[in-house]
Amino acid sequence: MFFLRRVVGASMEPSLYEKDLVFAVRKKPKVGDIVIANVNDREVVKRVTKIGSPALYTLLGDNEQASTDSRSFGAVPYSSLIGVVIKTFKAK
Amino acid sequence: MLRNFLKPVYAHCDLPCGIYETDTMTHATATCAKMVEKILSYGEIDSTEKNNNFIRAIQIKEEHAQKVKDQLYILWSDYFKPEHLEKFPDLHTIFWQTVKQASAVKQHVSEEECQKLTVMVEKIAAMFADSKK
Repeated sequence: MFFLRRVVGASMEPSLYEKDLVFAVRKKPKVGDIVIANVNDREVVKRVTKIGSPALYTLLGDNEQASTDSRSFGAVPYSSLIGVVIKTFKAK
Repeated sequence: MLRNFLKPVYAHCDLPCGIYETDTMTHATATCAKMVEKILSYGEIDSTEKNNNFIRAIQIKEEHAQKVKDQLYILWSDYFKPEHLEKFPDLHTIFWQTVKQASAVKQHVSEEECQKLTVMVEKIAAMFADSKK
């Protein structure tokens, strides 16, 4: 299963910028992967920085100054993860 | 064009957490005032170094004035809700005028315009704090 999404916001800069496209597939993420996750009924794009036990994923934005991530919503379970970004298409 | 039809993924910081603040716009306003003070202090631009700093100060002022506008839009559209209008009936007018004032600061090199913006941003910060009581 694969997903194509459009990035909105600046929390993943400089890796991802607004209007970039991300192509994600359903697979098990590792630390360092950029993932799409469902948090509070909203799809967010963040980077996995830690995988805790039992399978709780800490997600942080690359742009820490402008990111709402696991620092506020906590680590998320595997079931919240939608896909791992395997390809990005730059808007510019 | 196709991009607009694709489902968005959010790399946001204002949503969905619901964390809002007025510190960013307050600091950005103070930065604008500081940059205007610097720009006016340069006098005659008689060296490359001075020219470089002069241009940087203008750029920083304009960036921060835009930041004030962006922060105002977030607060206005995302934080304040229709029920707040009962408590602050002139909310829309205040935001509209403050955004326009931030544009004036961006456009001009004026301590007076910065001072006006400072007062208006303080008023919005007070309104925001009051709304949380």
